Parts: sequence; structure tokens; C-alpha cells
Amino acid sequence: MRAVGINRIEYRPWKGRRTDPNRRLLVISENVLRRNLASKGVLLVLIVGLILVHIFSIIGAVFFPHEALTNADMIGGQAPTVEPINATRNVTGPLGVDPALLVNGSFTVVGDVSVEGTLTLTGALAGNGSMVFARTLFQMGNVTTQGYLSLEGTLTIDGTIFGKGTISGTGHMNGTGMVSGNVTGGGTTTSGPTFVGGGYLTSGLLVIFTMLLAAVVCSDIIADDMADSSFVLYFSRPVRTIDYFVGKFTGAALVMGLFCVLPPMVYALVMLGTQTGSDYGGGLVILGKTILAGVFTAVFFLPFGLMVSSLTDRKAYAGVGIFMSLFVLTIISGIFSRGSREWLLVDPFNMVSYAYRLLFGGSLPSGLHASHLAVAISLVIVVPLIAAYFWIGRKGAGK
Amino acid sequence: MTEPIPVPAQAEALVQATDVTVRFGDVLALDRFSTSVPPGITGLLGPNGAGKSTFIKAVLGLVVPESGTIRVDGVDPQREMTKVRDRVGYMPEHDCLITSMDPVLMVSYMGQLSGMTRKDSIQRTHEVLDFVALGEERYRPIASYSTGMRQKVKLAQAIVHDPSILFLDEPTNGLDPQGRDEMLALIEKIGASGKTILVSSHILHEIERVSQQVIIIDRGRLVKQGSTRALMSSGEGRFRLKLRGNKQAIEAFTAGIRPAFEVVSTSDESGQMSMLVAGKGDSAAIFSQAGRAGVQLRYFGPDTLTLEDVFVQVLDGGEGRGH
Repeated sequence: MRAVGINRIEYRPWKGRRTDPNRRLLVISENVLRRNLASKGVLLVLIVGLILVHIFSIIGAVFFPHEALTNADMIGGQAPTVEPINATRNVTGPLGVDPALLVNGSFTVVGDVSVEGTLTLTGALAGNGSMVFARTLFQMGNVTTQGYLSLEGTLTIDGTIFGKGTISGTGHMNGTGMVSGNVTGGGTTTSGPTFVGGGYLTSGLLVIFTMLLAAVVCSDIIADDMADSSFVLYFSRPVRTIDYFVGKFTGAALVMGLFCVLPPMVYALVMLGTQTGSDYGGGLVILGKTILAGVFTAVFFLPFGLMVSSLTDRKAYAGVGIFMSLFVLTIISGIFSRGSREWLLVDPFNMVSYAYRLLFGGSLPSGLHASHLAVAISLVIVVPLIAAYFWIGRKGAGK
Repeated sequence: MTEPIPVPAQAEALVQATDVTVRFGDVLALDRFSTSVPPGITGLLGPNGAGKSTFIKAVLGLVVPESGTIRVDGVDPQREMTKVRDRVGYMPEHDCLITSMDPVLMVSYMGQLSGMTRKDSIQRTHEVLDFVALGEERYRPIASYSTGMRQKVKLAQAIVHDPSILFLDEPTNGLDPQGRDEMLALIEKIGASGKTILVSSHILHEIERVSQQVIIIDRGRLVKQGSTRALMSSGEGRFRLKLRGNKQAIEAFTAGIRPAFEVVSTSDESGQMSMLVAGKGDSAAIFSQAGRAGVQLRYFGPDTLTLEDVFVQVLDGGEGRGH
């Protein structure tokens, strides 16, 4: 019986020329890109993420006057300054306006620090020596004081302090974080670049949506091939395990790049194009760093995603597994970093954020080292890559 | 331990394996397996677990032999995997299609992976889908396909890049009689183009229908190889006769041929006598004796077996066993 509308033909040979075998992995990448751009889930995350994370910032860049594109635009904070605190300073403008109130490093106070009013601290608070809180409400992470804060010793701030009262002390204030309020002291304030989540890249939303996108993109990237047993179709062709793996990775990275590389690049270009100053050289350097940061963000979560996707043939499990696994790391980091600050490096959010700091000329929170961060990032990237590669290799020679 | 079955030298064979041993842990999947696959359609027969799929995977370079050599058109698949795989098409036995795609997308994707440009692959995809008679349904996701349609897509993806060697692993699996017939017709058409096609199947009468050569494998060893026709002929000097005549005439005929032929069996079928005789006598002696005895010789021809008979004989006879 013939199929309707089909005139059966005899077998005909094909006489075309074959492409270079080394470029076949690009076919896989292109396929991954096409499939993802046709996926409703990916498009939804992309569109919502673009609006919430990028579009508003880019519009803001157009309408808010600025002299130049600076590191602070990307990750918040300002250049380090050292100046004495001999009198009470009062902040009335937006956070970060007064360099004296931006502290980086260790914050040492010899004498008293007092807050009249409300002190809100977002981040970790640690002190050496005695800390006396009078009429204060103290919480780890967020500290709110109703009244004033007195402290002798060292206060290390890794977050943001929103103070509506007064901080007073004699000595040196070195901290990581941002203080808004009144500061009175007899020493100096060393205020370095402060990374408080106020920058374009460090808003937090970027990393959350990147993670979400990685989970959606990676959910079916290998799981579907496992469910369909289609590995054999790839590996009966001139495709090695490494070609398959690199092809899938590159395709996923291209999709991620649409969210993590292109919009920040556009943002930096818009900032450069609308700046009032004439220093374009520095801005171009920041543009380059922005692209690097984008590429790093685009590929950071993929190895983990590929690994989880290669462990299951259910894409729903893979997607949820990727997202939840990363959050579990965040929770573990939150719990154990109270004992040892090195645990902060287990949190993928922190890893990305700290990498930005280093890339844009800042420093890590006290107690953390760049080498440890490099090791943590390498582990998150390399170990899942190797695990996924070998797992796929085993599956490839399967049925 | 018996000696390996000698493999006839076939200079034109595109696939040659010599003393190939493949082991999966403690399981010996191929045991000094040697064969050569000539152009045309060759049936690869063997019981479950005999090593058929392992041999195909070894040729594709998917499994690494412990020892022995494999050459595909003179090329070692382990060393020059890409060269070999560009020349080979593979239709796996099990489900392997990317079910979220439609056949046009999937087959053209496979074509591109085999080195076709995007434009060429799309054009060729429609050509091979026409060839396997997949109509407008080619734009539907494969997930919605019946087994028969999936088998067609599997065949299409195997031939999209026009390989010179084609491995078809149980191509009629799960098909109804009509679907089997269609699939066999497609295989015959592809075979007519001069390709080397190795068809692995359990269904022996299908192999009997399409293959010119047969390789029988058991427990990882070659037990029989040769042309299908030669294997199915029961040997020289066995003939089947159909006679009509009265009892006395037939008895006279039987007695007349006895010096030269042994009567192996007789059966009476509605007044017609079927007779199987064996001997080295001349066929002319039979005709002349029939004339003398006054019986009608209504059929005379060499006795043939079915491939199933050969298969059972070979495996029951223990050829190639003893290891």
C-alpha cells in the first residue's frame, strides 16, 4: 500500500562533498541553540529575566546622567579613600554617596561606637574584643539596633549598614560594607570599593536568573538523549564523546550568552555612549571586563547542569535537580560559614559575586583568599565536567 | 577446541574481521571471530547473545576488541573512526530516535553529523523520506509515530548520507506482515545499488528472501558462512521427484533406480508420489527409468532446505562449538 501523496522513488546515491569531521560538533551546538530558542520554558525565563535584570538598567543608563562608565556601575562601590573622622558625618543622600561612609577591610574601633536611632546591618557582623549593645536588637546577618551600639575592638562588616542613627568611635574604621548614617570618630576611615549588591552585575537577580536559565537549558540537554537512547545515533557517526560533549556545552553556552553576555555588553555600550565625560579609555577596559564577566557567568553553572542532566533521563528531574542542588550549596554555606568563613566559598552566588569583585579591581571579604576562590570555582566547573564526560562515554557504548 | 571455520578469501569484501575477540568483563562476546562481508546483502544470523550486535559495534568502533583486526574498506575503525563512520550507516535494533523532533529535522540533523551541508541534508532528507514512503506525517513529532513508521525513520537516518556499508540490526522488529514486506522491499532496493549491507535478524525466511550471503554466528564464533543458495542446497546428489503412476509402475521405477540412487523417503500426496532420492547417478538414468517403468515424472530437481533448516542443523550439529 502506498502512502498518500507519495510517489515512491528508487534509491538514489548522494554525490555531495562532506564537511570537515572536526566541525561536526558545531552541528550539535547549532541544534542545541535552535531547540532552546524554540522552547517555551527557555523563552519565558529569557524574556522575564531580560526585562527584570537588563532592560530597566539599560533604560536607566540612558536617562540618568553619568560622567563615565566605572567599576562601581557594574558592581557598586567606589575607589578606596582614606580620610580622618574627626567629626560626625551625616549621610542624607543615597547609600554610597559619601566615601567616608563606605568601609572596606577590617573595621577597628578603639573606643565606643554608638548608634542613636536605627542601625541595620545586612551581612555578617564580627567583632574582636568587646561589643556592647545597649538597647539593641541583634541578629546574625541582619542587625537592627534601636538605640545605640557600643563596641571596643574590631568590627568587620561584610555587608551593608544602613544607619539612621550615629556611629561614633575613636580609631580606625576598616570594613567591607556600607554605612549610612552618622559616623563620629577620632581616627581614619579606610573606605575601599564596596560591593554591596548595588551594581548592575551584583544585583543578585542576574545570578538567580542565570541559575534558573541554566537549569532550564540543561534539563533536557543530555537527559533527552538518555531517555530516547539516541546516543547510539551520534556515536555511530563521526562524533566522539568529546565532540558530543563540547558540542552540547557550546550550544548551551550560546543560549546562556544571550542572557549573560549580550545585555551587559549593551548596557556598558549604552553607558559609554551616553556618558558626559571624555574618558572613554577606562570605559572600554570596563567593557572588556564586562564581557569577561558575562562569559564567566554564562559557563559557570553549565558543568553542574550537564552533570545533573547526564544522571537522569527525566528532564523535569534534571531541571529541578540542578536548581535545587545549587540552592542546597547556598544553604550549606549559610550554615557553616558562621563557624568558618571559608564556607562562604561553597555558595555559588558568592563565588560569582566574589569573582566579579576580583575582576573589577576589588578585594574579597576579610578572611577569604583569591586562591581559595579559584580552587572553589575550579571544583564547581571541573569536577562536574569530568563526571558528566565519563558518564556520557559509558552510556555512549551502551545498548 | 575446534579450529575456526575457514573464511573464504574475498578480495572485494569491504568489511573484514580477523580473529576478533571482544570481552565484556567475564563475558566473551566475540571469540576469535573472523569473517568477510562481500558487497550485496548478507544476513547475519545467530541466537540471542551470539555476538551479532557486538560485531556491528566493533566494526563501528563503538567497542574495542581485545585482539584481532577489523578493516572497513582497508581502514582500521579504531584508528580512523571518522573515515569509517562516514562510510557506514547503522540502523540500531532498539528505539533510538529523538522523539521530540520530526523526521525531517532529525534525519537532516543526522545527515549534517555525517558531513552533509545543511542545504544538502534537507534536500536529501526529503529524498530518503520519499524513498521509505513517509508522507505528510514527516512533519509530525516522532513521539506520535507507530512502530512501523519509526522503523522507516530509522532506515532513513541510516541511508541519508549514502553510506557504502549499511548495518541493519533487526530491521523488521515489531512490524506487521505488510510492514515487513515493505521493509524487505526497501532493503532489496538499496541492495540493488551495489552497497554492502549486513542484515542481522532472527526471522530467517526474511534473510532467505533478501540475502545473497549468510553468516551464522554462535557464542561469539563463526559457525558457517557462504552463499545463501549454497547453504540451502542440501548437498550434491539429493533430488526431489514427483511421480504419477500406478503402484506397480512406481515400484518398478524404484527398483530400477536403486543401483544408482538410495530412496530416502517417499510420501503419497493425493495420488502423486513425492520421493527424495540420494546418489551419485546420472539424472538421465532417472528419466530413462521413468520411461521404461511407465510413470509420469512431473517434477525433478535438487533437494533444497530452508534457511531455518540450515540454521537448526548448523547449531544442533555443533559446528564451531567446543570452546
